[in-house]
Amino acid sequence: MISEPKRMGAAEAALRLMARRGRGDWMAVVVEPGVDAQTVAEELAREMEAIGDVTVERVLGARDPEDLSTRLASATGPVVSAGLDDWPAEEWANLDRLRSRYAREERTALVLCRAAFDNLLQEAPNFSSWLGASVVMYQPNASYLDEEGRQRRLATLRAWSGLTDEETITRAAAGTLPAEPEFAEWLVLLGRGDLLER
Amino acid sequence: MGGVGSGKTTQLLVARDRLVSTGDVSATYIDVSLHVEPNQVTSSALLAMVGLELGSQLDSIPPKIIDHLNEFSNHLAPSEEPWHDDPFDRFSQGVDHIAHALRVTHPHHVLLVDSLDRMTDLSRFANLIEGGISKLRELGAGIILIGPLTALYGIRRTALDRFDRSWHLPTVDVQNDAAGHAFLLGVLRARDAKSLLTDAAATQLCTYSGGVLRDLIALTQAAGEEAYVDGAERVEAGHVELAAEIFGRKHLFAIDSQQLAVLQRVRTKGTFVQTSEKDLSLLATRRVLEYTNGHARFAVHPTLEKLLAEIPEVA
Repeated sequence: MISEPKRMGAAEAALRLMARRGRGDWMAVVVEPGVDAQTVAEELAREMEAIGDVTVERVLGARDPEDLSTRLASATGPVVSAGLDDWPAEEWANLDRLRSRYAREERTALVLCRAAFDNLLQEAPNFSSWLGASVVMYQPNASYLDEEGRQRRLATLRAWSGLTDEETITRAAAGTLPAEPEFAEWLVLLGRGDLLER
Repeated sequence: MGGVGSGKTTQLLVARDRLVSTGDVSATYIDVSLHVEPNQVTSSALLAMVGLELGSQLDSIPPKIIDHLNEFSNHLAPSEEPWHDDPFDRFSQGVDHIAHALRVTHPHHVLLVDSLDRMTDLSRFANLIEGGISKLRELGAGIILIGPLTALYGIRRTALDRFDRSWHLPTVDVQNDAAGHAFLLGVLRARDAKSLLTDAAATQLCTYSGGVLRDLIALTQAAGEEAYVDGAERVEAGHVELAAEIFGRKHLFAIDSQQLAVLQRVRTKGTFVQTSEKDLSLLATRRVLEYTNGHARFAVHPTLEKLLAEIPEVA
């Protein structure tokens, strides 16, 4: 392996994807051999739901590119898709030719094994150009930021909102915290992700 | 014609809007891949698509035309059963009827046909030009289409001779073309209404894009993402560096030692000889970029430069 995408956990991948505007934004999350892509897809979808306060649809096990495009077209919100790892290389070439059918107004994440992602890069160069730099290698149990980064981000969030950590927690507990994803991220950074359900 | 992310569809849509603004032109954009897998497009299928798109622009539809539209829809509907007759002549007549009805409000028709560049079978592409496209031209429609770059080379070049003009959208040579660099900078500034990009970041983004418009936009989004995670107010040069590294790592994923050797040769010597499918795939995936303004030049994608320099070359 000469090079690989940046490693990160589902929480950071979800934050990065949800921070995007949505229209036509795609992300590929690559998993190591032995890691179950559908389990990672579920973890990612839950993180996206917690951060974005939206329902994320799961599109699992599409038979072929036509099936995937039909199922994505019927989904109006963000989507996490997995279960494409058995597609042969020619299906990815087919997906590339049909790429116009994948134009979406929302965020879409594909969770793929290395071999499937390799096929995507080689056989679907046009579609993979839609990913841009949004390709990550899934890191289980990864913390979102190191301690220095966490403190820097918390300081930014405090300055942005004019609130303290305590005030944010109090408002979250009372159910009066605004729905912006930054507040969800703030609670996660404080280790109070449990308050996101309120 | 143009490479991945060179802005072909954007150009078609801009052309459509400009034609429509003249008032008497019906300019119709058709993405064939939304109807049929591009390698399966036949002349009859193309006529059916055109007929349906033109028919949708009629204010009122006479019964005769409704019959044509139904037949077009049936022809394009996925079916296990192959068509036993070739409806080409019937479909030509149907399109002619619809175009005639449409001329009451719009005397001139221009069709902007997208996705034919996805045809890998050049014989089929040539047949389509000789068949459906020529027929539409005969019926009085102007045609602008996106064709495969590979049609520029070899015996299938004759298909292009059917056109009054062919236009290759080149990759902007950001290193040697000051006007091209300024153009990309202008694209960024037009989209950066809130001045979130510092001057240094904008310049770096143009350089790292390699002149590929889609990569310019993707890198800008990625740099913005890095700035967001960093909690920065503006996108700085450091955020662009991070985004470029992530972008480059994606490009280096899953290449083998043979392809790596080719990339290193392009990086250090600027030479690129396409001798195998694997070599061609380096061009198709934009790991190697070809610049054709003035003289031909090959370069690795700028986001790969630094990463490749860190990998020891094998003799």
